[in-house]
Amino acid sequence: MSVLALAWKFFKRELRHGEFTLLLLSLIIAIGSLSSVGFLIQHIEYSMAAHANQLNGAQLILKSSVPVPQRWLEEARKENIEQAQMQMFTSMLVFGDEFKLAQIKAVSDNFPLQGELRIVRKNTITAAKAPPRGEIWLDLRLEEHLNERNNEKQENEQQVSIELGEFKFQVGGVLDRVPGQSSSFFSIAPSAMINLADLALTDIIQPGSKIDYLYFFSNSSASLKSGSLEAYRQWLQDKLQPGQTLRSGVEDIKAVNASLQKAGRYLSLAAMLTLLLSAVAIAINSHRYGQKQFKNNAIMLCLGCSENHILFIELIKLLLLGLVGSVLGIILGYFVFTGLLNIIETVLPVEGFSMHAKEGYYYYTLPVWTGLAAGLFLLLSLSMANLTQIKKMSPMGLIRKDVLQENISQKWFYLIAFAGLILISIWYTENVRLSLLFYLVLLISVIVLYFLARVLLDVIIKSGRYFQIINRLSLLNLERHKRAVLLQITTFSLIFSLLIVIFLVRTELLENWQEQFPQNTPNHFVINIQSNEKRQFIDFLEQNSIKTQGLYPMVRGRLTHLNQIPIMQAVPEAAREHNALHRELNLSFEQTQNQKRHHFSGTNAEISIESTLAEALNIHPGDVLGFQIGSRKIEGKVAVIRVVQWDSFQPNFYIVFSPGLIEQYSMNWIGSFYLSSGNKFKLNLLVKQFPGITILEVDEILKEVQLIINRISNAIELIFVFIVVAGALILSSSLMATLSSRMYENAVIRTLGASTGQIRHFLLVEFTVVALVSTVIAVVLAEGASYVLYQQVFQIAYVLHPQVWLGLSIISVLSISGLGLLMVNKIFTQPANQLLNQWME
Amino acid sequence: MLVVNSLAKKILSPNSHLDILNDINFHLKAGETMAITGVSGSGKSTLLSLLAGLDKPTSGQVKIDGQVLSELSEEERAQLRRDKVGFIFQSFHLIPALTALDNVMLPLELKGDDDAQEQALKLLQRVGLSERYNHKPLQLSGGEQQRVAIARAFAGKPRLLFADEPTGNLDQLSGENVIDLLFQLNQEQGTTLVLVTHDPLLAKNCHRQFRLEQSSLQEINLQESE
Repeated sequence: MSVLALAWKFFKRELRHGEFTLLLLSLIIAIGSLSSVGFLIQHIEYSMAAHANQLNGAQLILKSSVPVPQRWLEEARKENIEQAQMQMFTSMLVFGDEFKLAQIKAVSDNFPLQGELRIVRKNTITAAKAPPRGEIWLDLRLEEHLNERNNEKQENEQQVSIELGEFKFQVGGVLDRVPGQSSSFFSIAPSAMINLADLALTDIIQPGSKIDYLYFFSNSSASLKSGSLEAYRQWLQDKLQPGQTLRSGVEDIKAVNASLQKAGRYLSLAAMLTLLLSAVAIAINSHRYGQKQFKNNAIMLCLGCSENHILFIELIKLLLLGLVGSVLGIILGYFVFTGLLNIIETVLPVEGFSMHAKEGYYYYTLPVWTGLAAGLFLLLSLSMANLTQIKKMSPMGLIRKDVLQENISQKWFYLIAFAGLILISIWYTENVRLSLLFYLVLLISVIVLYFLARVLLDVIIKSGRYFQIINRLSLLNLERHKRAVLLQITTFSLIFSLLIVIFLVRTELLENWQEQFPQNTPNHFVINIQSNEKRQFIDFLEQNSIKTQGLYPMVRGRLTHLNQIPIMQAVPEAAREHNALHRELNLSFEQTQNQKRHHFSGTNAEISIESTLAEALNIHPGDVLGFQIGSRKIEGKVAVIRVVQWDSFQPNFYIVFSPGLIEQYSMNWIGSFYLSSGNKFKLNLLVKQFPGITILEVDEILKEVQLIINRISNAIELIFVFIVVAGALILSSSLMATLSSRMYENAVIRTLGASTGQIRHFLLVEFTVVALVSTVIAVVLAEGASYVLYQQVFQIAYVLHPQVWLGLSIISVLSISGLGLLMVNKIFTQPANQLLNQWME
Repeated sequence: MLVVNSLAKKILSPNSHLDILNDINFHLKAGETMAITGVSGSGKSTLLSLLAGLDKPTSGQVKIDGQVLSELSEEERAQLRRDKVGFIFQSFHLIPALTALDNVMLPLELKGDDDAQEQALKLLQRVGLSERYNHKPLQLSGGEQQRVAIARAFAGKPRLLFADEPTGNLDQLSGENVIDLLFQLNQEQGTTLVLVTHDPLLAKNCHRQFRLEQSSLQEINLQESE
């Protein structure tokens, strides 16, 4: 019989019973956990992308200050990419005898390509495409203005027409939601929408008119990565001129972008974590399998099979097992993924989060490939590490299970397994830095924690003996299993610490985001408040119960010198194109009442500068900056480099002066406040009283940002649930793998007359010690790892988490003792001779 | 000491049942020794497991010192084993991670004896292994392992000792040594001994001999057979 046929025969036979089945089961669980998290991560990424496209109205948006060459659009057509257009400009709308400044959006018939354009027509909200010819749709602010006017003049809405340039439009509806809103970030004026085909009739566009041309592109898949669209994006990218930008997703919204980046890193971390958990489970079970195979292989050796022959047969068997286990694991992972998703959806409805985006599942191939690769590779390398030891042993030695010395080839296999794990993780997460950092920390930690576990265990055994707090048999039990106990402790503390890390990072991120946008986050900015209006302006807000964060002075000036050298010569060549050097900056100064905010010493003319600008222009503390404000020049020394949270929806400045330096220059004020949508009409009152001010409405965008962040938060919660489930499965499979020798020993002890209570007591002491030592080590490891992750990867402040220490102690004792006792329950229910016979087989 | 009434063990499968033991009856007085012989697969080890309370019969009863095993809870059976019963296995069943001394101490410690170590050392000396008390089972030969197992079995001073082919895994010389030791200790402690064996010589050392054949147990009349 050929070796292959022999291997196939053994494979089939061993599948039917014993260790092979256990190994297969553990592989299915490990790969199932890995791929279920993988599927979920892909699903979240897909849903996020789909949502971003809905927000944008398309997958890709090209913005240009001039019409783009026709060839560009033809190229898209050739690639079967759908396209829509918008032209956006500011103009006067004429309501009878009244003029109102508005931002006009003229859109093509098929706008939006994705997402929903919603309008209110006769008090019902409906989804729509572009306005029909001859109609204009107004936003809420214009609509309210119109209603006020109608009330005054007793006119009926239906009869109202609005002029734009030379053309009279009928008011057809009120804009409720407009995709692509984020492209302009905020609208300075209230907006109105017309059909692009009507634009020419208004005769409003003249040579030199300032217009933004927006081109929307989409194809059938949600992911930009797939298909022709990505190729087209790259093709366009090379052709862009100044004044033209391309964007996809929600990357231009800083607040969302920062959160998305953090969420992305969290997902990567989660992916790596499940990969590692799975590797641990496979490692333990492979080790056990390798050990159990010694006897069989020794018999084969005695029967005249060569070592290489045996190893080849084992390799084929494992390859087959790896394939079967990984495929079944992936199928299991898929069902766990869809099942959990459905359960979670009914328990915890997530607004707007597409739980059933089935059409996207086609693209979820990454978890399948990584699952297969991880399953096969880890199983082979880790099992072979043990199996190759037959080369070093005599057959009788193997039968007697003599103590095995770790040999060099075994170390090589472990090294290969570790390197492979890192590679799979890089492939899986597409994040080299995070992967390398993670495994470096891991490697150091495992070494440290192994020694820590040894020391702790010795201390417990010695002090237990000295103080006689644990009875001798329990101590003996611990001592005689020292190796196995250490292996358990190392495994469990690794599993626990990974779970703590993912829990801590999750909690921090969620809290961080909640703090970022507390209720009443300002959703309107006001600029151009004159100094003489300031008092009345604040009074107006107070009378109308509008909360403001205060007003900030703004002086316009140009940065001209750095250390007395003209700025263009002083900054590095790469920085000369920086936008801040080519326009007037909004300079502010510290008002005395909150001087502490910038930590000025108060002795000199000092400046606080925003950190990214300082870095870009190579400006350091102590440098002297020169500014031109009107016709006057002014200097100040850089005292503070300040990190600005641009995503905070608060007024922020690049440059802030210390008090007493620029107060005498002409200035106006900027402020921000929160206004609920029911109070929107107050804006019209505000503008009526202060006609000179400009209001920037960011409420819509803030709402979107909050929605996206809610969604990311929910996704992070989901992942967490998955990982906890995966962790629990892997914990139990690892526990099971390390318990078999206990079954035998306790069966022997039972034949000697040990009572159930006595055996329970031994096991309980052992499990509790394992749980508590694992907890201590896990906490040390997790706090260390979170410190690095918080600082290096997530940029969030680090504190210790004593509540987690306590929580984990309770959970670990309960779970390990509970699960452990449950698993060895057989000892108490099965006749002792059956247990002994099972072992002898 | 040991009374067995209508003891039976069947293995039930969906289509058939297999009688391993059928209507077994005998009684054994304190201090008596008894050998059970029979071909491989005749059910000797199963009978021994039932007698020692390590397995449950399908019907019938085993009484040790007046206590019916099947009427006892698992807990009570454990206590009975701890107090009155010893067991020697063909494959020793020593705990691999424990030294010879720890293995012998185990039943004493389970009983809560304070001088467990002293007693265990004495027994190891008695079985000729005082020098090797600190060795683990894998470092001992088969004969030595069985001697440790004998020391362990006698450590709890059992009134009733079951030995399942104690020499089955040993060469002739080691086997003879083990048998001598077993009977010497048995005599010293006045233990009632039930022995399962293939070995006719070993069986001859016992007061009474039984043969297990076709699921039933027959006592061999020693005078007749002689």
